[in-house]
Formats: sequence, C-alpha cells, structure tokens
Amino acid sequence: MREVLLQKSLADPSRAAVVAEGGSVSWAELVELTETHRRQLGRLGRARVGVRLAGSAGCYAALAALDALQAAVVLLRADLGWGECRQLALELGLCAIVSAAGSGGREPRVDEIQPCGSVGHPGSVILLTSGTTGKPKAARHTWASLARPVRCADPGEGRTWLLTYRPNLYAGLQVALQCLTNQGTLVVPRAGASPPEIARLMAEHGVEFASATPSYWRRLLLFADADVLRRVPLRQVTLGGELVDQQVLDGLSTLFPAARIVHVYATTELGRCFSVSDRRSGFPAAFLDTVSPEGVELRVRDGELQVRSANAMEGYDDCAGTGAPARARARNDLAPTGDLVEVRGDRVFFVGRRSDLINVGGNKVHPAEVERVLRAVPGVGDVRVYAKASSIAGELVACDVVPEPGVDPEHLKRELVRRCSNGLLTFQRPRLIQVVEEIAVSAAGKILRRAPP
Amino acid sequence: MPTPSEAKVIESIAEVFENKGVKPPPLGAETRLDASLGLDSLDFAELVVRLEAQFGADPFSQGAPTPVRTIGQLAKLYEEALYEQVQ
Repeated sequence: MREVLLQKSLADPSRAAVVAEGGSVSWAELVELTETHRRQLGRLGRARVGVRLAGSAGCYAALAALDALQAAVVLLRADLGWGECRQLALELGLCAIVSAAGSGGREPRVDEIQPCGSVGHPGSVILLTSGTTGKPKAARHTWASLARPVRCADPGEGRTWLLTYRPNLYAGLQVALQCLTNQGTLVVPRAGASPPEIARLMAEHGVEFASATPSYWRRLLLFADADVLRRVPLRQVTLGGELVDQQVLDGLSTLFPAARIVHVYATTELGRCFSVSDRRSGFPAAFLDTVSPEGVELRVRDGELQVRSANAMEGYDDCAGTGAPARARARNDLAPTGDLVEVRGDRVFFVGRRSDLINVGGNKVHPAEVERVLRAVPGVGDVRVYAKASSIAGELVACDVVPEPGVDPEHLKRELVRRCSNGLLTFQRPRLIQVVEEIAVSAAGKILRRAPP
Repeated sequence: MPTPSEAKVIESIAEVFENKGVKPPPLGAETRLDASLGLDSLDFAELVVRLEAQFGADPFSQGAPTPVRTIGQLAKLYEEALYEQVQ
C-alpha cells in the first residue's frame, strides 16, 4: 500500500484518485495526504491499531502511512459505534483506533485505548470476515498477499472503478488496491445510496470497472433506470461473493453487451482463487485437480469444493490462538470451502453454501435451487429464500419476493404458488411467501439466509 | 358462529390451502384436523408458523401438547398458551 500512495512519479497528478461523498481528491493531494498521515501517525510505528475504514481518501492515506510505519492494522467498519469499537479493540489487543479525517479535514483522529506493546506480526493486515455464519473471524494477511492478485492495467485501459463493497472487507480492499495500484479513480457511492443514485454516479464519473455481489447487481438492474445504466462506459462487470446464476449473467449481458463479464471466486481466508468470463454460470471442470498458474488448486470431495490457494491468508489472528495451524491449512492443504457443487458434464455448478441448507423435517433444501425456480416466474424482480424455524418440522422454506415494477403482488403470489406446486417437491415449496420492496442483504452485500430482516 | 380464536385458526387453515393452490373446504369449529381434511404434516407445520404470527405464541415449541382433533380444540390450545404467557 505504501508503494502505491507514497510514490513520486504520478502519471497524471491532477486526476481524481477518490471521488466520495465529501468531494474529490486528486492523486497529488492523496500522495501529500499520505505523507501528512505518516508524520502524524509516527508514534504508532510497529503498533497494533484498528482503522475505521470508510471509502475516503483519508482512510487509504492512513492505511498507506501505517504500512510505511510497519504497524499491524485491523480493518474495522466505519459505522461501528464507539462502544463496539472499544470492545473490539480490547478483544483484539489494539492500542489505538484511527479514524480518517472528515471531509475537508487533513488530520486523522487517534483514540488511544491502551499502552502500545510489541506487535507480533508487524506489517500485517487483519480482516474480520463478514460473519454471515456465526462470529466473525480475524484473518491475517499481509499487503503482499493482498496485492498478489492485482493486475497491472495495460496502457489505455480504463481505470475508473466503482466501490460497491464495504472498504474493510476483502473484496472492497481488492477493488481499492486494483484501482489505486494503477493510479485510477475510485468512485465511492455514499452509504445507503439508492440504485437510481448509484447509476447516475456511475454515468457521471464514467465508471469503467464495477465489481459487486449478484444481489447488488440484481437490485441495480431492477430499480435503476436502464437508459442511465446504458450510458455507463463499463468495460468490465465483475460479480463475486455469492452464487452467480445464469439469470443475472444474462441480464447483465443484455444491458452491457460490450463489457467483459467476469465472476470471481474468492474468500477472505483463501483470497482470490479463480475467475470465469464466458458468461456462463459455474466454472469449467478442467479447473479441477490441477494447479493453476496463479497457484490455486481445486478439487471436489463429497460434493464440496476444496481449495488450496497461494493467495490465502497467513493464518487466523493470534488473538484467536489458531495462527499456525490455520496457515498450514490455507496455504498447504486443500481446505473445505463450505461451497457445495455439482459436476455436470464439463462444468461445475455451485448449488449453495453448506451452512445455508434448510432442513425441512430431515430433507435438505438448497435455497439457491428454489430461488432459481422462483426467478423464472414472469414478474419476479428479485427473490430471497431462507429458513423459517418450525417447532414441528425443524425448519420450513420461506421466501421474500420483489415484484417487477407494475406487477400486481396478489397475482404474482398466485402465479408463484402455481409454479412452485408444479416445479418443486412438497418440502422444497416456500410455505411463506412475502412480497417486499427490497431483499434483505448482509453488510457484505449477500442475501441473508438465516436471520429474518 | 366461531369464536375470535377459532376464526383466526380458520383463516390460517384457509391460507395454507391457498398456498397449495387448492380451494379451502368448508371449515368450522367441529372440522376434524385429520387426513380427511387434506393437510399433510408439512402443511400442519406451516399452519403452526402462521398461527404463531397470528397469536404471538407457539404451544408446540415445548414438545407435543395434548392431542388436538378439531379446529375448536386447536383454538383452545392457543388461548391457553396465551393465558400462560400472560401469567
């Protein structure tokens, strides 16, 4: 990170580096801001600190400065309350929490929590997993392991990226690194921006690369003005973080016929593993049982994808007491991913997360399989299938449906009932169908499967 | 004339039928909740989830209560569960 933001040779110093709610910061300003942060944060050298990461220029300046100072950083959500921050700081042994300057400000805020002791892994970057299943874990990377999948753009290739992920999560950091390493422009929508607002921002700033979860793309396709979206000069549309179905790929292909459409398989622990750009869901079976040039090996055991990845974390954070064994697992062993797959002919298809399986009286239901049937019903804009606790059956299948604009909800419900009765087994059938305005997603932008909204 | 609790149970049973794409049969307090009604065990599980939303209580959550044979008996069970909750 420090090499990215503390450099003297800028191709275009006046180009915007970060465009966020508070305004735009040029590359020349960002480099200067990073120098200022390095001076101001000097006392945190080799310390273990938390950084509250909003997608602002100040946050990236703070990260680069702390990298130059060999601090170990734990990336925190910017919207964490002070009480939660302090609690996390104590649990994770942080000596201070750094918050970026607000818009227009130049000085980061440093809240000291406890005396700085010696840090076990200077220069490490600790990411808290999105925690869709259970308590978040602290995955320890280095800037080198995070930057390993970053590709240098060819001259003339576009460099304006949209940041849709939370900046403190693996995917958000990958987008920022990819963009900033190539001295591009990172466009950051304000928190809670509506789909029409995001589309306008993309068109206004000429976004050329956009990476998001399938849930995020579906929401954009459903609620943003298609004419505005068509004006966005997208060269690449990337999907990741969730199962990518053919319907969303087809929707994006129709809207952005000239763009390269890529889906990426990556996790916080394993890093970026592989990508597919043939506009088909799943991935080629030829990827299995071989080591890719990127150092990633895949295999299927008992229906689950197992991965060994050169981009994996160093290990879980020492605070969890599992650093060494986790490192051995991630880098040297084929580790189970929790992703269930089916090999059909020359293709491997994802069928869902093991933890998302719904147990209906002993019968296992894949939510994604039910969603596939529901999405095919005309008038369905978006859908979420989740488990509803039942004292009789253990769990039942429930779903939330967003109708396409102008579709009568009652008519749609009747049509869904008809299609489910014909297309699904009795235990797969959603027992509760709720029409909603929007699908509930997690902080990481993924469909919520367990907790009701 | 069904009691308010029986009316809620009848309404929920009708919803279970509609969710199967089937027109509900005539329902009353004396309607038997056995196989003759046309609901299977998962339909009954669905009914209990719907009734929990209606009454704010689930008498089945603590294991199987005394057998219930009719809509009237099921409504009574929910009334008792609510009474216990208040106590």
